[in-house]
Amino acid sequence: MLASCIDVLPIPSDIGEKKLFVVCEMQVGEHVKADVTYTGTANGVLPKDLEVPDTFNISLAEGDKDFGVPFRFDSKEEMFLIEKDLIPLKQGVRYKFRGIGNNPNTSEPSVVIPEPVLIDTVILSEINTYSENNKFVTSMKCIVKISKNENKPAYLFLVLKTENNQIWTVTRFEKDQGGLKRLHHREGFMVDYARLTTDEIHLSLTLTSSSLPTRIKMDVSNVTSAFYQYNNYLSNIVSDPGQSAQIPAIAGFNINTEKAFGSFSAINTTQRSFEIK
Amino acid sequence: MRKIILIVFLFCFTQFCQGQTRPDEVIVSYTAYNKPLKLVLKDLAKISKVSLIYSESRLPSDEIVSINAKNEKLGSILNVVLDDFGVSYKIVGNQLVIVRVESKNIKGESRIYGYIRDKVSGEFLIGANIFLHDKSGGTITNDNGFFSFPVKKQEHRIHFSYLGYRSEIRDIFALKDTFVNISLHPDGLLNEIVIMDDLLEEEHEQTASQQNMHIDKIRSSNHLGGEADLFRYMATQPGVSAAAEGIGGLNVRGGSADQNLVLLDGVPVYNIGHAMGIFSVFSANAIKNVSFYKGGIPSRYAGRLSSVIDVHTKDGNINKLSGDATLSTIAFKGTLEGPVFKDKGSFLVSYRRTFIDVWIKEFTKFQNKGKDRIGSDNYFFSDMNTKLNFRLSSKTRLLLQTLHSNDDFSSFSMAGDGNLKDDSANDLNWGNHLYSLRLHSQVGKALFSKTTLYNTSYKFESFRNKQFDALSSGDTISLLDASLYESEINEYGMKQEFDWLISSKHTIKAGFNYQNRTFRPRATTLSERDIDPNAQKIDAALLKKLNEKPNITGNEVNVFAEDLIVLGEGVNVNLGLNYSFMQANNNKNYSALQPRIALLADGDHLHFKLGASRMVQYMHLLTNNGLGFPSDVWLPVSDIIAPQKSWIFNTSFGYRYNSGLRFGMEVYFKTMEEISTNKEGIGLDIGQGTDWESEVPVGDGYAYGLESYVEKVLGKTLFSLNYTYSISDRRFADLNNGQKFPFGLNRDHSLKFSLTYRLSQFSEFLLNWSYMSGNYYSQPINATIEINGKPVVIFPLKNNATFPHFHRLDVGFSFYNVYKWGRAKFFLGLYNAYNRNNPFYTELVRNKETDGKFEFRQLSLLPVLPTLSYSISF
Repeated sequence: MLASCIDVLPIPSDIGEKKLFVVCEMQVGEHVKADVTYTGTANGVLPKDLEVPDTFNISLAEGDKDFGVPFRFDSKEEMFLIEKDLIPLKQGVRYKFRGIGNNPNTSEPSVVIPEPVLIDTVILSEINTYSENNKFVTSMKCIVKISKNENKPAYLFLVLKTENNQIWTVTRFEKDQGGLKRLHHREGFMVDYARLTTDEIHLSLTLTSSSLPTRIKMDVSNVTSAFYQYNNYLSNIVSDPGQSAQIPAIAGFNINTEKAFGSFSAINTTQRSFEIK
Repeated sequence: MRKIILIVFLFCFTQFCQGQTRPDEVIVSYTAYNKPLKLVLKDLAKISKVSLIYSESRLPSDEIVSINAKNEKLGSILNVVLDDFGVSYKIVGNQLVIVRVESKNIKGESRIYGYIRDKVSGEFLIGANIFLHDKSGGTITNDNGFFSFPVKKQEHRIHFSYLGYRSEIRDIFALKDTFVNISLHPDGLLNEIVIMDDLLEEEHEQTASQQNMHIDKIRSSNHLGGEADLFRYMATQPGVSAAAEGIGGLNVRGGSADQNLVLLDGVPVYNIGHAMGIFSVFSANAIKNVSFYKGGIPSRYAGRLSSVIDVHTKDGNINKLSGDATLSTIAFKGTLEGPVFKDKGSFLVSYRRTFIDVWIKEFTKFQNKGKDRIGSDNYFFSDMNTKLNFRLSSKTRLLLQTLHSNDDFSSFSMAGDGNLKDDSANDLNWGNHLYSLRLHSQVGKALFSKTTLYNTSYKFESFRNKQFDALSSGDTISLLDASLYESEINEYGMKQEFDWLISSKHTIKAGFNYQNRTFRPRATTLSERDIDPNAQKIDAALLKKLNEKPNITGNEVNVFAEDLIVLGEGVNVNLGLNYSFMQANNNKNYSALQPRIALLADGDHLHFKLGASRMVQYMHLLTNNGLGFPSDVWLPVSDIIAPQKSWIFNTSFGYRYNSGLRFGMEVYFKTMEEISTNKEGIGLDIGQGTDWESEVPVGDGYAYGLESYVEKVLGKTLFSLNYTYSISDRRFADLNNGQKFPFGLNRDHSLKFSLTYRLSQFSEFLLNWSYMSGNYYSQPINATIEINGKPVVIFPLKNNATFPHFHRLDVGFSFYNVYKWGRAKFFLGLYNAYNRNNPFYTELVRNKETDGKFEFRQLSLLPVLPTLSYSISF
């Protein structure tokens, strides 16, 4: 394209290579896993796996306890791990990620395990099924009413499945669209609860399946803001992030220490299943 | 100059001169029906053979008289005829002299009304001043050159003035409602030369919010490529900035380009830019008047958040065939205007076409070859404005108007043999089409009606395709990045406005308008994840197949009323209210009350202004704001996307010294709600049934700032300096992790200096220098993480850095000549005289030959450019 001049703008060089990139998504009732790699640089050093992961000393501390439960490197999963028996996650308790330094002006990266979210009612309507190419196409309207609680959740993550774990596709958010976030990189969608006008989520769903679905199974998770921001970031990133056409996706990290970037989040999931009538 | 014409009719017969009979006792029979008073007096003088002497300026000579007298004394007839006009007769010798009746005996008010025109072309003058000599009353002409205001029933000395025209003073004995037609003569032989003495007159404040753009200043302003341009001139005004060189639109007080309502003779125009906003679609030679509002916006304007640019074009020379032609370094343009059906109407045709396509293709082919690449660029633009003006009666005009503008850019580029595949193709075209039919009627002596039917449409298409090979973990992979953005708006509208010049204290404007709009947006992106880039041809047609354009219609109705209330000498307030109703899709309705107030207190030297405006905008523009190839997509409000809203508050003062110095300062604060922008990362997939509306980020913003200016005329030189401090921030829940960030196209500081020096009566020197803070952009950090197997540069915050400062010097000389057949002008100048590389946009580029290496590039357009143009007008 016609351009009189191209200048290369400097990218600040103070970050450098060999910083850590840490992703730890804690799920209540599950082992705690942390994926830790080295970052690369913009001038050609690629991100890479840790060279001697066993030597890394990272841990998880519960509440105000001085000591943390150390992660061990699981070479099979290529992740750092703490078995759930060693540190059973408790709702309302703050957990700190240790060994990667402090965030600016704060202490170590930490999150509070959110309370579970209960579903009050699910209303399914306008259920319509037809067959096409030997497949059943089912569509319906779905209203999910969240139970009123003193502590309203901040963010939710929902995955809707059939009895065979097929994913119901959300074709349209019918209400409070600004508060609902479709995800491109994983199944499900997120809810910014503060932006809902009521305690209800209004959806249009569709499914193409080889057998008629009889149930809708809902994984409704109360998630931390770090989970919401990091997944929003991942969802926004383009397929080849080095291209220029898109507006940059801003990193949704809550780990930004002198040693590491990354996301430290928690998720508390409730499962419910409803019959489709 | 007071003009008194004495008309004497001498029909003296010797016997009568000897005084046998008093002249007023001569018996006559006379009948007249709807005959002008002047002709009636002429008839009576002829029939009675008595000399009637009067001053034409003392008589409302256009008044119509009906009389039927049989064998009556001349005096009796005159008493009946003259009584209504506050005049009588006196016997002087054997003559009758028409004289005034002492006004102290006359009570009540009458009205002076009429039109003010350009004497040469017959064009109605908009915003011309009419004021009583003692400044106890006055008004301005509306956009049809019409004025009307009440006065006491007595003789008045009235001033008629308009910037760039010789003022005229008339003595009018207004005992009855009096119609006057005023024709003002253009000041000076050369329209284009800015008359120094007039420049400061511009600041005679008329209303609290309107800023009249001096049309001669626009025409003589510094040119890029020899093209004088309205929007380039406007960008030199305080509080206004062009986003960057090559990015369309104007940013007014921290607002985005879509927040400006641009009206061409009352009809909205959606894209005002040629050449990605470097020029406007309005040819400067066809413009008659431009009013600019950025605060205290009158209630008759609605539909945008930040400003109103109300452009009125010429109606065409009603007296003679005239025109102009300009040949510049980039374009040819010409205007032809003249009368049709003698005294019944006029026409105007204005056409412009660039001819850079003749050389740009070869030039870019050569450029590419130098970089071991194959490819070329091509670009052209054109616009055509036509107008027909029919005078249906002395009080009614019918105007037909069209505007067509087109821009077409295409480029392709391929890596030379032996290099990794690196192909790109870009196609960008857009255009406006406008048709309008307007009926302007003077209804009575104080009411003016304007009815407009119109269709305005806009179409934009941007296709971009990049296919390249890159190294990834040591392997060569084929990558694809293709996108298609389309935007179509088709608007049908009807407007009805009334100007009711009710009294010297109140001028009411009221009316309604209705718009039916259909939007057809589309945005599709394609990558190697979606399709094998080597398997088939990637072109716009392929991307169009992937997404059907939705048809989204909406109906908007506005009802408004405003009253310009004169509170005292030099003090007025414009109070208004606009009610808007929008019927969006899926039976979703929106409505809004938009109160407006603008106060002006104007003394001999000092003026003070205050304004508050509530604005609502029932459409959105998604744009990449200067990051990469343009991708403007207009969207309507819908059941999901709410209207944008703003409050604008502003206050200012200004001071004029008699020595030709003036200065002033204005502060403003603006809030913006429900504004939208493009999402981060993956672009919106806009098409039928894609639920794209739920992904449009919606947020709030605010802007505040200070604007100041100083102007001084020193001998033959005009100095002008203005400084603007502007802060404009946004907050979107879905962007920047919900944190506040600066508006990308805002410039915190801007300083603009201009100098006009009149070298001689026929030449002048122009200099403009601008210095502005850089626009904001998102700067990455030197760290990458791996996502989907590819390195990703980390952008920690949105708009966390600014480009290098923008500064540019333009200089030029204008030379004028007058010939028997007309005038000629030669312009010679330098644009960007010291070749500053001002940023156009940035892009993050992944180095194809080094896996994981990125470059953050700033592209600049418009280096130092010599500027030549030659114009003739006749």
